[in-house]
Amino acid sequence: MPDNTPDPIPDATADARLRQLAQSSLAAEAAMVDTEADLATLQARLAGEVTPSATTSSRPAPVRWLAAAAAAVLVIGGIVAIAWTRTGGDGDRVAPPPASPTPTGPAATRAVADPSVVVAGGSVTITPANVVERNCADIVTARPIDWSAPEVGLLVGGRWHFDPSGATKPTYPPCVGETTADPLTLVIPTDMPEGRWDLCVAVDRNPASCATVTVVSGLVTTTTAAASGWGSAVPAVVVPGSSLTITPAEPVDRECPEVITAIQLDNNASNFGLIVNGRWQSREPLGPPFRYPSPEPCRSSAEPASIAVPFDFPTGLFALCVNRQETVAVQSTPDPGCATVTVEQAPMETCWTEPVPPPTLTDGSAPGELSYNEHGWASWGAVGSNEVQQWLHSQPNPWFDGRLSWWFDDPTIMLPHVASGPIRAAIGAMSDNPAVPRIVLVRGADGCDRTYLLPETSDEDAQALAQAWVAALADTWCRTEPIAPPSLVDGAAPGEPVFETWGGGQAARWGDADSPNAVRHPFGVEPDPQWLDAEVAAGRAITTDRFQATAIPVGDPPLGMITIFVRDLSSDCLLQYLVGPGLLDDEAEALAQAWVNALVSGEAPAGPGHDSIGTEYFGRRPTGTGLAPFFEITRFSGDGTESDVLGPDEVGALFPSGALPDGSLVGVAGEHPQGRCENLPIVRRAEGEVVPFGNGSEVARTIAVAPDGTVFVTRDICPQGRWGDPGTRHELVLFTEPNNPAAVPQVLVTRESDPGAIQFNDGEVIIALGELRVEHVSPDGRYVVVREVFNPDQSRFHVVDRQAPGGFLTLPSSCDYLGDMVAPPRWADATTIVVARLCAEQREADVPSDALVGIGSGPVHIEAVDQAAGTVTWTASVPSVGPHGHSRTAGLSARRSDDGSVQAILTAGGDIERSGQTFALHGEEVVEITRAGYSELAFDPAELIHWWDARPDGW
Amino acid sequence: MVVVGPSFEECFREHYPRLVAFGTSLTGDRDAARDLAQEAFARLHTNWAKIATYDEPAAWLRRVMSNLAIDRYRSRASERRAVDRLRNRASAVANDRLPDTEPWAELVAALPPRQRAIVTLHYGEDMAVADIAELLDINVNTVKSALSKARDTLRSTWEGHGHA
Repeated sequence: MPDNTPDPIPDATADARLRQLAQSSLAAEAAMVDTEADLATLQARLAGEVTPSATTSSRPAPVRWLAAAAAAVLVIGGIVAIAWTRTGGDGDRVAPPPASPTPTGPAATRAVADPSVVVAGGSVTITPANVVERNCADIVTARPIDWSAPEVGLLVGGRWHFDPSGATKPTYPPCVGETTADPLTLVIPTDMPEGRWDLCVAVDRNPASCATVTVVSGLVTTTTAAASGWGSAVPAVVVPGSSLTITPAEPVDRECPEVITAIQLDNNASNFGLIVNGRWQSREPLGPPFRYPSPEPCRSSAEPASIAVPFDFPTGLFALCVNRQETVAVQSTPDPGCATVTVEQAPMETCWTEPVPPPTLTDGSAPGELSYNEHGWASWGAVGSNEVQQWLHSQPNPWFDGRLSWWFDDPTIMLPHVASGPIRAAIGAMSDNPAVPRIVLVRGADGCDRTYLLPETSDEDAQALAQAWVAALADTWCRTEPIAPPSLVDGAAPGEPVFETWGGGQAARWGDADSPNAVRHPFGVEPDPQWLDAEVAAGRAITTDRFQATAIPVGDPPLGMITIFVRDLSSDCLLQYLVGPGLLDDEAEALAQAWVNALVSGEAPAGPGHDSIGTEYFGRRPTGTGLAPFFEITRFSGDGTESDVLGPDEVGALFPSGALPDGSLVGVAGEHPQGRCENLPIVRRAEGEVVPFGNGSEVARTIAVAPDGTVFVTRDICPQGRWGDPGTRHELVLFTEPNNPAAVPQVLVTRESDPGAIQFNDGEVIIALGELRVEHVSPDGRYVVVREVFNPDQSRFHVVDRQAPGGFLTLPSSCDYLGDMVAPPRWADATTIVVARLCAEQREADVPSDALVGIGSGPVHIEAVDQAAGTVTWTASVPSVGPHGHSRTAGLSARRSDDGSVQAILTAGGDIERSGQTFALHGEEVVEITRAGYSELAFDPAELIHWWDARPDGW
Repeated sequence: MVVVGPSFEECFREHYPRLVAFGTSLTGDRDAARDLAQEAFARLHTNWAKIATYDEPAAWLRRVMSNLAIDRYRSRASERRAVDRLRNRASAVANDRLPDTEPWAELVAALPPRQRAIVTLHYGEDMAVADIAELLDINVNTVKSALSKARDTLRSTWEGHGHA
């Protein structure tokens, strides 16, 4: 078979033939051009009169469903192109970048303009990035940012000197400006043209002195735009990635789904196109202006349209229209379907300008010295060997920055990537050609996406390197970075951290230092894993497929702190956080569980919202082991928000004053004695002097003063005997004449000593149960509330009617059989007493009244009793919520609400290491208002003061 | 109203047809070439005060045209490439269509856009390698390498078409 393959063509011959073919073809092609027609088209375009439409070439319809991916890859094409040229490859798929200023390193920091968008006639302040040599006389130079005019204008004293033709040059006065970094405020002249300007305050117009300012006329403001026939936009100034709402001035024909037509009003309409499904589809300058997805509009409406400005949307002044546009000449005829919007450049992120070394070079070695290549890229390692480059952006490029983040964030685009904690890494390339550099996009712990190139690395090696980098970054992140917890204690977002010294190291703190909300993260040290490991081994830790967590007390909660350990199994990152003081174990465990739930779901914990109870209330929380009184009281407004913390004087005023009507003060001299038969002298002071109380030798173990001056005391009577001897007794008495030395106190209740109730006896000190302690007195002074300590850890409460001495008052109840009152009764008004009691299962008569056992069980019942009528007027309870387990008591607060009904707060259901729950009860409504760190809530802050609290004033 | 001055018009008349021809070689699409040439002249207009002083505005125009053509190629090629890659298909990039163009445009259509520009400038505009490198702001060796590869490809194509 004959070989028909042509002989190879010699190079010289080939060159000659190619040259001949090229030149003849180009000449023929040029001869076909209708130059005059195209010149007319260009002139019309430059005049802004008609839509540029020189050609009618049919182009394939864009692939909508993956336009985003296409854009992302397009960008990568640019990256590879630049790198490829750098490495001297054959460039079979890519090419060097468009001619543009080549960065020589990190971008110079520019001045800042505030505001960056100014209505002509308004003022703007330009703050240089550093010290610059300023123009004298506060002259500012101005140049169109797009170079649409080559000349520089001057802004002097609010006047505008600018000749765009360049025929007349601005002249500077013969003076010398200051060298300073001070900001300069200037007025934008009313005749300064709209557009984006580079305003510079320095003589040499160096970047540190220059800021970009968008000047707009009054016509682009929303209100005037609406009045002039335009629709309106809120906001009228946006950046790519932000949202705005366009409202037509009147019903216009609309697309289904919504399509926004965008036409640039400045810079000769150099950008126009459509926003479809959130994607920007720019049109080529001279092609058909707009091609809509649907043949016809589908509706007529004036309803607002809310859109997000795509990341790759160009900057400038635009008409954004919800209706169709046939041409780009919208600026000459205001359209009710269009609103004028200024799209500003997104702020430049240091993520894209600052070189950050990769964890390693391609061979695993340390990055070493940083250098810059001819493209201004950062480079580490040896070219042709283990080099890693980082693409640094000399100019903001929201198109790029937004698109790449889709790799990690957009589920429709997301590419396979390695992740550990917040660290992400994905590899990409534009070609299967192994000589084309591989790209590693890395998201650091700071949230920055950085682009690294591996000029000499295969796919497999790049993938392995990405994994190694993620592991290294995650390890570093875990051990050295302050890492925000998912929430504060109350579920609120942590916000920004505050750094403080902690245990010789450093801790990041989220939340106020003195708040029970605060969470601390000591960072820079590796937590001891044994605590969490032990809890996991014991089956007590919170565990999921990916996380382990537990709460370990540091000291003695609630006064001590609690450590919450959280381990991310995917990165083996173990973190420790400190919460408290003020929290109990179960509250910390609940917080740890909420954090794990948040980490697993990726959703923030529920916020700190609290239901409104319609009136302010107060909370008591431990404050740690600092100075007395070791607690603080916080005021909450009716909607549950924290109002303030009561100051020391306010807290001091909450303690019983012991004041008599004559102004003298009564109290006992000393702390409540444990040993029986040990009474304390009753002391009375007037104007700082000690004055007699009664006969001057009265004693008491507890004391309370009624508003009318009646003094109630409990005391042991031990005539020449020890507690338990015959004749020794305990009594509740009242004094009505504290000034009368001859007055005899009235005995209300007497209890004979019971040898069986003695708990401790060392021959000197005898401790016995059954003691009564005065709690408080009713507002009218008739009733006194006493606490009976019937068990070493448990108490119950009684009411004694001074008008019916000899025993405890029996109040009506909804219970079939009365159980103990487990909280101090409160008076909602003069005649309504509110009690918290248990119901019993047997008749009271079957239980000796002085039996040292608790009576009743089950949930706590709140009962309001009208003492005048002798009836129960309201009862409420929280199913399954009984008194605190360890003390068998509860917290109770009551008030008469604005509608006349009784409202109560019940704190109950806790135990020695378990926090209680707090409920607001009103009518049939029960609202839980539990707050982590708060042991009790009440309407009246004085109700949060307990008998064991130390008086701030030493009484 | 923006007025196009006589000198700009003269420049347009002098360089526009050849720029369109150059663009056709780069894009393989005459209509697209006209679009891009108009865009290049629009940019020239906005910078006219500066560019008018250049010895060779044509060089500036060719550079803009090259970049515009490459941008256009990238944007269209990358769409297809993204689809192909994400569909796990071959990543071959289809060339632009060649409707009714001169043989040179058809011949260079198989080349990447930068190579198209280089060979067209070299053979069609008779530019030296160093001048091309300066014009396109790339390394001389890159031009040489691209020219060599392009020549091999063209020769292969040429022979395949039986033009030996």
